[in-house]
Amino acid sequence: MNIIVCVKRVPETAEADLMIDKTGKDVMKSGLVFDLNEWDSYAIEEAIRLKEKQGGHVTVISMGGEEANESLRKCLAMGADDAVRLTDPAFEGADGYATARVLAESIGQLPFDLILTGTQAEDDGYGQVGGALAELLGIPHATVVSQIEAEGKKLKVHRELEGGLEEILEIDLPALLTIQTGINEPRYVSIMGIRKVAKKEIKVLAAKDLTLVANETGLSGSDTRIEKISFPPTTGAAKMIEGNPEEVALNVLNILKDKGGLA
Amino acid sequence: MKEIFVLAEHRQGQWRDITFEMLSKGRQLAERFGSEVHAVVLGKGVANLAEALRSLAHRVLLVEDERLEVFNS
Repeated sequence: MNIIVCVKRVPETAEADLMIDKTGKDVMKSGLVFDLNEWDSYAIEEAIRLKEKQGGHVTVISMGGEEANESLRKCLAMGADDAVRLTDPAFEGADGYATARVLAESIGQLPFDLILTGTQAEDDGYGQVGGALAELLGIPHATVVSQIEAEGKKLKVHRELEGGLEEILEIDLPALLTIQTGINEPRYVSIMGIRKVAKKEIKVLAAKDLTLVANETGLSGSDTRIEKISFPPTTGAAKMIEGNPEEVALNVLNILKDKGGLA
Repeated sequence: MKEIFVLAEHRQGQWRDITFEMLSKGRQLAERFGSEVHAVVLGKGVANLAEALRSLAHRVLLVEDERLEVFNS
C-alpha cells in the first residue's frame, strides 16, 4: 500500500507566553519551540503501522521552508521511506484551500492508495486541508478517524463524533483520512534515530515543478486572509459560592434574581 | 451578499444545536446585508425534520436521496 502523509511544523503554543507581532496578524515566533504538529505525529505513526502490517511505502510531504526538514527527518526516523518538501515564496500566506491545492498538485505526481493528514493543525486549527485535498483529488475522505482496519481494497474506519458518539464506515481506496489524536501511541524518536536519517535526501519541489499559476497559491490564491489577531477579552474571575446546600441555593437564587435571570 | 446558505446538521433524526446557532447567525447576517437565509437539508426521510426549520429561514432547500441516507456533516 502506498501511503502519503501530509505534515506541518508548528510552534508549540499550549504552554507558551504568546505575544502578537508588529503586523498584528501573527504571533511572535522568536523564542517559541517548533515541532511536528501533534495530530500529524499520530498520522505518520498510523501510516508506518499499516506499512509494517501489510507492506508498502510511506511518503511524507510538508509545505514550508528549510526548517520544515526537521519535521520531515523526524518522520523519516520514525520509519517513513521518502520525504518531499514543497517550498516557494509564492506559497506563503496560503490558507487551507491554497495549501491543499499545492499538496494536490504534488501528490498527483505520485502513486498512492491512502493519504493521511492530521485532523487539524495546532497553530491555526482550521482543519480544512484534508477535506479540501480529497475533493481536489476526487477521492473519498473521512475526518476525525480514531481507528483503521484494512480490508483488501477497502478500509473500515471509526470516526469520533460529538458527545462520545462513534461512527464506523467503510471507505473505498484510494481515500484520504484525517487522523485524530489517541488513535495510537506515536513511537519515540531518539537522537541516534534522527542522525541515521540526516543524510537522507529530501526532495524539494517549487511552484515551477507543479502546474500551478501564481494566483492559485499563497496569499493571492487564498479566499481567507487574516486581518488581525487578538487575545480573548479577559473576563471577571469566577465567584465561588460556599456554604451548606441551603445557603448556596438561596445565594444562587438571589444572584439570579438580581441579574434578571428569573423572568 | 445575495444569499446565505446554512448546511443544517442532523444526527440520528434530530437537529444538532449547532444548526439553530448557525441559522440564528445567518439571520443576523442576512438582516445586516439585506439578503436571505436558506437552510439546506441533506438526507433521506428527513422531510418532517425539515419542516421544523420553516420558521427559522427564508427558504428550506430539501435534498433527499438514497445516497444521502448515511450522510452526515
